[in-house]
Amino acid sequence: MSEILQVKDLHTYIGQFHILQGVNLTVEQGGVTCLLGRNGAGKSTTLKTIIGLLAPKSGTIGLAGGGAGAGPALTNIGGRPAHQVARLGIGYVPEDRGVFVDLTVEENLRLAERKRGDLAAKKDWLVKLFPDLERFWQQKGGRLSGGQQQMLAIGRALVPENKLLLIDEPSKGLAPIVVEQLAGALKELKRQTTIVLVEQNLWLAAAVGDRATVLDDGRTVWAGVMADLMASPELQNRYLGVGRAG
Amino acid sequence: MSGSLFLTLILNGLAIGMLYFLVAVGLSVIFGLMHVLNFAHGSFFMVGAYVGLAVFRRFGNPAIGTAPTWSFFLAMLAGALACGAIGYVVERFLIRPLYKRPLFLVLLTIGLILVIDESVKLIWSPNSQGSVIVPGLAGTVQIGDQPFALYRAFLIGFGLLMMGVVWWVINRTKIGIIIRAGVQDAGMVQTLGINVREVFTLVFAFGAALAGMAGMATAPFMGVFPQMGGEFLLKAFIVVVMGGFGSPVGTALGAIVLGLTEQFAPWLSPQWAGIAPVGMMVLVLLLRPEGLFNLSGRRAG
Amino acid sequence: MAAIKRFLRRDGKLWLLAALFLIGPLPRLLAGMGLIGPQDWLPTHWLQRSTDIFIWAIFALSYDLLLGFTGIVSFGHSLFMAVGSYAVAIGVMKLGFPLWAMILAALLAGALISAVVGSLSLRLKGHGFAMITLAFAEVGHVLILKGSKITGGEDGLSVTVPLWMASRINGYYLALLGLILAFILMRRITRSQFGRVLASIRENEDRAIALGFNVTAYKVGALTLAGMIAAFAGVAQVTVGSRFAAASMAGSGPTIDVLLMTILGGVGTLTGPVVGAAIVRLLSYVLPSFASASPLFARWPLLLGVIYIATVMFLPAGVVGASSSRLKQVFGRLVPGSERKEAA
Repeated sequence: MSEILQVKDLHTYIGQFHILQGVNLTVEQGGVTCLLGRNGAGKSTTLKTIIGLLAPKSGTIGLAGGGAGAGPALTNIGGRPAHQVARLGIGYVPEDRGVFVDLTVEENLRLAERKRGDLAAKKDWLVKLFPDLERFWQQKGGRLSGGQQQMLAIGRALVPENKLLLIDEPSKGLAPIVVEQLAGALKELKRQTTIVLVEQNLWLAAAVGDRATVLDDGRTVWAGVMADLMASPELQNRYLGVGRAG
Repeated sequence: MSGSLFLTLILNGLAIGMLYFLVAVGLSVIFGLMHVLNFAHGSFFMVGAYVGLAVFRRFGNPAIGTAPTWSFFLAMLAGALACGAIGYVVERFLIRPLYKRPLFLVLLTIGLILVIDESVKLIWSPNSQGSVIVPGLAGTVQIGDQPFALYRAFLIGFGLLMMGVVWWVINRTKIGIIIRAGVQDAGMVQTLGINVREVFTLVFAFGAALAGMAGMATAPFMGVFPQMGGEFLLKAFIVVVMGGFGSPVGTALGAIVLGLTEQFAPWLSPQWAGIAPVGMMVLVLLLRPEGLFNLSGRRAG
Repeated sequence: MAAIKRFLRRDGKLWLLAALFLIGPLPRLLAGMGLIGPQDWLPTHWLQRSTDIFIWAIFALSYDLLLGFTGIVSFGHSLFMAVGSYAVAIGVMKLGFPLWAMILAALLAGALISAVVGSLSLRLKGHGFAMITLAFAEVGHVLILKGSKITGGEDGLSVTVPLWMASRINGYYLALLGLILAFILMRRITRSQFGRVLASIRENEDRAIALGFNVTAYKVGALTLAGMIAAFAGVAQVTVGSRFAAASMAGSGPTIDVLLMTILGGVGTLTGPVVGAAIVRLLSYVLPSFASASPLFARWPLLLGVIYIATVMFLPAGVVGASSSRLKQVFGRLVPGSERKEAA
């Protein structure tokens, strides 16, 4: 398997605060890589730095095919503006979902088109994945429930041909039944694209995750196979602050 | 108050409201999208009038302040183009480096007032320019016992047309979707692969162009003089505060309400009518800072 | 020797400068008192211009308490100067009250009106506050124009002052004294516990709230003090300056001027607004005299605007602050928008 993304020794400041202090993250082609850690460990900041909303102070963000030649070699995309990063084929679903409340579902999706016709080509597939989107096609984003907004946010990241999705805590604030639906959708998605998933909900992470990277205090402290993490209550206790139940 | 007087007051209010809309809509969208409170917007308006007037006079007789009707439309276009170009340069080279320092951004636009206003005085003299008469739109029609200037009827029609154009752009085009989304969260729009900075420049230039067009449209109505920028800036602020920042529909309603208020307030109290517009602005800011007509109820800024 | 050096290093230079301005026109003062013969040293128009600079410096100091020391942008500051001017002008000329009583009343009125404006407006943040102060000043402007029976409307009000205030040299010294008093007061305010809280509001308002400070009350306090000092500048204007209260005082013109002065000189410093006032006023005296060389100089505010824009873009700490990198840091951080991103 080859790497699609390789983050090395990433440091990011927000204001004068040194948030990321050496994040390493390797994402293999295909499947779901979970980015785990306690509150404030730097998970969301890592995603924001990769997508280009925050500029790294040092370190590299290597993306396969990020160069002009679009070959398999890794190119450092650190510090590029977000729109350029996105156009390299990265979709981003932020923690607050970033649904535009004054725009209809259709307009939210159209906004993500990188060329005319992207949405038309994907619409059937999208509404099969998230049937609610079709039901509320002409409704304002602000009228949707939290779960529907999450579906819309993920659906929006699927409109253009993205080879990598960065999804930040999709389960946040959702009812367990909705989280289960979400898990089903993510399992379906990971067959076709690569996903980096920030998640506090270990059940969801375990259900869809293949590999995991754990951050603590802005540093990478563990990386490996998701199943190993789930099999080790001690690791979970040390890095994630969860009890033995897991 | 007779019915025909009432009707003319309403029509007069609508006519001037259309001018307010043209000036204010750019100010509103620019603030909603980029959080730039552009104090130089009134100066764009004034430059549009001066550039337009220069073009208008090239085709006519300066002594009597008139030129063929078609050259008036050409003049409006010239005012819009000139201000669009100035707006482009200002956003690209002066405002863009300051997005990370919003305080200094406001201070910069105040400096622009000085530079633009004084440049206009340098080029065209600080004096008021003579009257501007558009032959095809001169004269009055009779509404009952009240005369009503034909030019004001034209303003109402033209303003409605421009409202329609703005509505169509905002609600029916991709750029409109980007603008409405950017008013909520420009950073998120950017993560979707859209170069928001380019959209900022475009919107700033387009807003300036509308203001410039409004400047020339105002010329036959109340003349051309350096202080017109400051006067209309204040009016535009009042409109935008009432309509809610970033909402073109709110701006349209606010502009019409301000236009009507200015017509009807003197009828209530000739001496204190002048205080009504700013008084409304104070009240709206105190009681409903998100704007009277901001339908989504969100606060910008 | 060491003591003198230490004095000079702390703020001796400032006092030396003040002494220079105190001693400079002394021959004129002595001549005015009849102690020595008439002097042609220092033409009267320069005394008048210096007086004007001192008054603007007081006004700019008061503005900097808001802009530089608390980090709030007001576009209606001219209102408070106008309140000071009109309180004296109306009280003395229309109602016949004694001058000293009206000076006190003017300071009180300035403090009171700014406290009212502040407690109404300061719930609004950032641009909202800027807009509402602009609106309040405009309301004041219209009231002055329309209440012509009391205010003189467009014609304004001329003020006659007692004989001892009337000579230009005495006016000069009174204005200088006023500036020194305002400067000392501003220094006490900014170095006090109160001033430190204002600084913490400027640097991070949310943190100041989290620390338990009633931020709005502190801001109203800052605006009240600034309004009072601005009213003092207005008092100086109608007693030793132009001796004329004009409606345009409440308009946007003086607010823009004071903004230019504060930014050019150095926002967040005490010497900055004084230096800025001197620069802007001196340019306005000197540049028009070159008008015969180029019409550009007749339109000198154009040059001022270019200098100002360059300052905003490249020298945000102003002339005085440019040497102090600490100030640059402070104002580099004054970025409400970008501070919103939370650590995750």
